[in-house]
Amino acid sequence: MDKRVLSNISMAGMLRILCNYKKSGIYNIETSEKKIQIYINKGEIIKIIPCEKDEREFLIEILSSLKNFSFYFEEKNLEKGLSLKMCIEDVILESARRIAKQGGCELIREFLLPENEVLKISKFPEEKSIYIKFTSDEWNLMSSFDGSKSIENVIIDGGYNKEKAETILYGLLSAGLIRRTRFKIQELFKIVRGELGNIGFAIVDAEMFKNNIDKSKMGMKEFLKLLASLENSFTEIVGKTKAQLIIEKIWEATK
Amino acid sequence: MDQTLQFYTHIISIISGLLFWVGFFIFGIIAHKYSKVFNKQTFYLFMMTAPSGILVYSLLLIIKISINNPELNNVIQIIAYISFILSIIFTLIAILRFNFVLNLLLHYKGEK
Amino acid sequence: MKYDVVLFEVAILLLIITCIYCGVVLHKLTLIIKERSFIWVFPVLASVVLLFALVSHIYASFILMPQLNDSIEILTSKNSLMDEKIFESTKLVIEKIKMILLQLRIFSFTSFLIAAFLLTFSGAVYIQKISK
Repeated sequence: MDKRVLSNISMAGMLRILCNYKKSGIYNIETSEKKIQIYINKGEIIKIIPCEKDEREFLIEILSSLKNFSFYFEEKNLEKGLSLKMCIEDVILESARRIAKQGGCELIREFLLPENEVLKISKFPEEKSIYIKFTSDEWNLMSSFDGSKSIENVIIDGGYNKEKAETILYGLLSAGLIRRTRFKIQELFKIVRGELGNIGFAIVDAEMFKNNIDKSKMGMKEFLKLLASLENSFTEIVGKTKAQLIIEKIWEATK
Repeated sequence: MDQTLQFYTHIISIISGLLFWVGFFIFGIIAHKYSKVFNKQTFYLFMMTAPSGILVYSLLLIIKISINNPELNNVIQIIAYISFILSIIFTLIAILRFNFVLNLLLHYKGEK
Repeated sequence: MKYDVVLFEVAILLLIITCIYCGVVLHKLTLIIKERSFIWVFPVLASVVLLFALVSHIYASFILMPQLNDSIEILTSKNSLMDEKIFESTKLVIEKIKMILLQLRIFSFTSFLIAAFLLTFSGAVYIQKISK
């Protein structure tokens, strides 16, 4: 068995990745008291052993457990079985709600992203269908992430209680409903504003407009194009040396 | 002595005319940079070309003294002064425009 | 009314205002590049120098020139031609005024040169700063 160690991924997040990437094998979760095996066939959960009650309820209980545990995945071909037809994203969100009720905010903090991370709602592949129950807070928090706001901005602007927002965020991230944007555009604006004031802000806007770049849909190609244009513009305004320093700062902070 | 001083004033007037032109030309270069980066009209061409009127003024005054024709002198003098004042007016317009653009940029808060 | 003289003085006044605005612009530009620099003072100094040139030109045009014209009239008048003392003293006055006018002319042109140099120098220093 090939063992690899992952940090900063939660038990729920790992399960969601295995399902979304249509893996087949056994997802093992071990606590000091027991060992649970979740059988996954091509991304569908087919069996949970041992399971004393309704599988969905049992899975929610495991994922919301505050006990110490370890988990690992054994990839193998399994016999075809009947899917339990669970929407893993819904299960994860429910587990996050249970964690909040149990006051387990401290435990989930290690799985959260830094506050300056900019997030956006994830896209799903075409054939995927999900059935999720959202609370208004969960929906509103998720919809606030438009690809241009950081976690800090959303929590402050939305007036959310920080602990509650963190638990909701844990659920949304683990369920894969929101994800990091590729580049921290907010950091870029912060740096240019710090270095050049409002004019820096104006330069970035001007270059994005000139190059027809949508900051919420920026890929690596557009980002490099933007950086190259910004370097030229900064060189015109403040000189080559300072321009290079600013671009290096931006690259370090936003990649 | 008089001729020496006259010669001195001629040279000084040409050099100062040229220097003013170069000085405003440099400001025009700076305005051009801002025009290029922000795609805003800064009238940099005015700033670069209009101050040539100062040099024209200096040259015309020298020509006036050299020719020493009273009828022509008045015409040359008027052309010199008009050229001078027009060049200053256009240069002033350009620098005021550049100042306006700088104000806009210094107070930019992201509105388009 | 000496329209050409007034035109010239208006032009100098506008040049003074232009130099002041050049100083204002340079001050804003140095704020942008976040460099504590006093190069913006040079165009303002240039405008002060030009102001002296303007004052001297006004003095020359509206005080000295009329005095010169009056003295020439006296010199060419019958009384002066008849009286050697008046002729000589008027001639001295004319020479004195001409000397002052020449000095003011030199001062005026030199002021122009200094102002032009200050303006150009300030612009050149700024360009040098942003070319690094």
